[in-house]
Amino acid sequence: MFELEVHGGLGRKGTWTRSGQTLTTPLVLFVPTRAHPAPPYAEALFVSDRTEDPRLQIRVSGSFFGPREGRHPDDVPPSKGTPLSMADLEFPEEPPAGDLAIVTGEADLSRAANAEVVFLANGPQFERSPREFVAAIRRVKESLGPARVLAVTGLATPSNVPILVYAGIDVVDSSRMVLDSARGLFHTSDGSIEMEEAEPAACGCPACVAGGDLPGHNDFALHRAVLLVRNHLAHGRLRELVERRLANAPWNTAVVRHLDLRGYDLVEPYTPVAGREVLAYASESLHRPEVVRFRRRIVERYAKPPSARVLLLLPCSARKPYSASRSHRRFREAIQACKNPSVVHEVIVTSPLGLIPRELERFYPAGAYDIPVTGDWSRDEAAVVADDLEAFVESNRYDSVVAHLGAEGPIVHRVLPEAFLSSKDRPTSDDSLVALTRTLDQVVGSYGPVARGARFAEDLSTIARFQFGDAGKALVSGATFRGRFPDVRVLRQGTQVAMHTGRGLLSLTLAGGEILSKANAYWVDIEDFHPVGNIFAVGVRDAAPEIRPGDEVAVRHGGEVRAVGTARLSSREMKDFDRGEAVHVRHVREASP
Amino acid sequence: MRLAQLVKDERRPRDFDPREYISTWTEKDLLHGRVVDAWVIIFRTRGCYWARASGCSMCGYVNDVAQEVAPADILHQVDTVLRKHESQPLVKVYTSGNFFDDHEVSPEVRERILHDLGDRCDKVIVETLSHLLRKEQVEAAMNHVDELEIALGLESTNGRVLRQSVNKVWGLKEHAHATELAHAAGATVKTYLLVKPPFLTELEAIEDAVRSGHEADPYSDTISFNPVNVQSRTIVDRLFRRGEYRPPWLWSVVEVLERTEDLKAHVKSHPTAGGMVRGAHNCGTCDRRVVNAIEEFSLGLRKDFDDLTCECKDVWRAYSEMQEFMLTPADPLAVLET
Repeated sequence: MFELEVHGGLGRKGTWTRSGQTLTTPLVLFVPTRAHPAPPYAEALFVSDRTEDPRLQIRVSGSFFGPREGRHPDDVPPSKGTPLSMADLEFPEEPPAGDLAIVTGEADLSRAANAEVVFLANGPQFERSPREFVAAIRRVKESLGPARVLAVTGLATPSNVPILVYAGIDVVDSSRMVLDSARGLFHTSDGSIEMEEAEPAACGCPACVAGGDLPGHNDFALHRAVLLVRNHLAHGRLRELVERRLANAPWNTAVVRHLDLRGYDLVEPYTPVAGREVLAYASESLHRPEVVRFRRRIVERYAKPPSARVLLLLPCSARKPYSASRSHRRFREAIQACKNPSVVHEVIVTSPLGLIPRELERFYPAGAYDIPVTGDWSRDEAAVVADDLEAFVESNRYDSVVAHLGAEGPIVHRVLPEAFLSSKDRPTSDDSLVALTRTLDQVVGSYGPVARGARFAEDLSTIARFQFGDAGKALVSGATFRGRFPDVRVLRQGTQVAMHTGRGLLSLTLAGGEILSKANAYWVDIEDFHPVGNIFAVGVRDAAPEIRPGDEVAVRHGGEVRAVGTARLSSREMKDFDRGEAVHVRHVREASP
Repeated sequence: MRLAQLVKDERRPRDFDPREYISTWTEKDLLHGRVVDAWVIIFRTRGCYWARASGCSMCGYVNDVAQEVAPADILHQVDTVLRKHESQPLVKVYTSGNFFDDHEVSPEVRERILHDLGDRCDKVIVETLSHLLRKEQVEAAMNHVDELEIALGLESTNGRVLRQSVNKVWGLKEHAHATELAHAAGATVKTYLLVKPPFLTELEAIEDAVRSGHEADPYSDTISFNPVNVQSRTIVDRLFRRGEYRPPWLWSVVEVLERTEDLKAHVKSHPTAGGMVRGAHNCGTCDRRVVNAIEEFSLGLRKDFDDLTCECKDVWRAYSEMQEFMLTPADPLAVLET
């Protein structure tokens, strides 16, 4: 039985309960050998013969050609025995199905339909084919779903284990450490070197301190690497750890590239829509699912406030939300000084997110990301801005564009040569700010002023749509808004339907949940019970496919909304898991007497 | 994806001159307890009928079945090669197929070969698939030679290994029957067993060879363990090119020989391409020593391998044991980066 605790894309930290033992994943199965018994810190063992050791022992059973006797519930069945290129070779006898399953070829997937744990066969061969590794994971995740504990053996090293976990692996083993120790390879979290070149004195692990026992060192290095992965998962920082390990080996980079460039549809559904600050320090950060999702939603779920007529492009600030920064406070003053600020639409130009309309500046990850700022724009970063800007002005028609920018100026100018450039040397200099007001005056004068409340309503409507898609429009249709941004109550006919908070998201009331449910979005169908607390996955029958961890959802049965809250799992996880919290409930409807 | 089809997909027909024998050389072998010169002759024939129909996964002769070779052509080869005889008392006759397949070697040609070689040598060894052997054939053969040994490629006694790895559809039953025929006519039997056919891990390969040796012992006078070598355009070659097959470690061959010491049959092994990447090999440093030791053992010149050691023995041990945990028959040393 597997229970998920924290997401990091496909990677997850969870609790795996088996044979009376409760284990934390990601987990290493340690292989004891005659010369080296399993280390004391090993949480679970991977054996060929069972011993009295009280820890969980998963036992291998040879292959089709030389199966081992015995069928203990914790025995992996005999493997098929064919390598990757002949994974689908037809054998007259089908391998046994059980709740520990080995998947060699595609035909094995249907036999693993009831498996709790899925082992990918031929693990070492994935080292030659990162593409095949990602494809194998995709097959399992798509056909068997996210509820399986996914294991790969013979592949993990201290250097690649963050990438394995990020790609969706829950369980690894130490067999490669055993082999590499015999080969004289000294492993570190950044790769391996020959033992002769290594400096155990500089290591400090117990094995090295005790005199440099190589198998002991390598086992401990793998153990420590997995603990580090767990720790990063717990703090919402797995992707950051992965990006630090990319340079260790081309394989690490290749796997992440396959996932980023071709596996977005696979990874994104499991990527939370709210969380810790995104540290976008590497060039690969440009392709993080959180980043790509934000940019896609600008295309798919965004339209400018209708009364905005002048697009004003501004540079980003280190401080988030931008409006809290000194530079943006000064921009704001300069804008307010113009004749008609109500028709100006501020959009921030930034990397890696591209374009951030002012009203979305608190939306994750716009409100929480960090990048190194030197004023240099790589070609890739520039292309993001150029592409997004082109698409943005294509679908959002403004009468004029003012670019008040620094280093981003030339990028914008190439896309929009007709844009007015208002900034002199630095956008925040006194001269530039004066020029900004003056430039705006030239373009805003011909419009009548927009009522303050009307523009405010438009801004909140765009937030609602960005968060909930078209159902968000239904939520705020005809609504009135009370409060001072960001703390705004959304009311319809006097009933509060949602509340906007500093997190940049609308949280639902039961009435808001009703509207979303009718609009057929962000609903979770549960069994027939009246929730008194949080909703657990076992009680979920179905869930709208667009739900991601962190989303606001309406919990219902037979069309009746019974609770609203925050999703802890993504749609498919709610359906597939038998354990764990699916929705963190905020409001419940009292059962009618 | 079926194994028999893959064997066919991999093969590439080779051109040859039907009037030229393939090869001949002299090597050392054991005769009546003494080390003697053994004359090896490989005749060109139309090749193995099984290779034509399907073929074995490790056998390179599947590429030699494109052309017919007439009886007259084989007789021409016999006449040519006989001039090369240099008083070797033992002769081993191979075709790229089966000496007792009448369609491959006609009865007339077979008798000519046996007659001419029987005249010159004390003992003749020929090779065939066990199920092709007929009582009359062996009896006829015994008219021409003093001593006849029939070599039979059993490969393994495990049906799964035979069908799904080697791609053979006969086994110990046919082998035992052939041995009975041979013994009844006064011939002896040499059993070939493979060490590490494809898809088996190093450990499984050792266990399979040891078990097969014990099971074949009652039906064998000599057991020769053949470490699989990578022959061009075979399934094994296809796997090898992808890092999915490694020929056995010489340490594995040593272990098989050590663990079959209790057999009544004479046990030997001549690792083809031993010490090379396409044959049974170790680390490169100790290969020559270990190959020599195996050859000495096979000639009865040494009783054990206790004096042999090398640093790579630890790697071999870890390699053999870890493949099972890695859930792969592929060669982890070929596919894993350092």
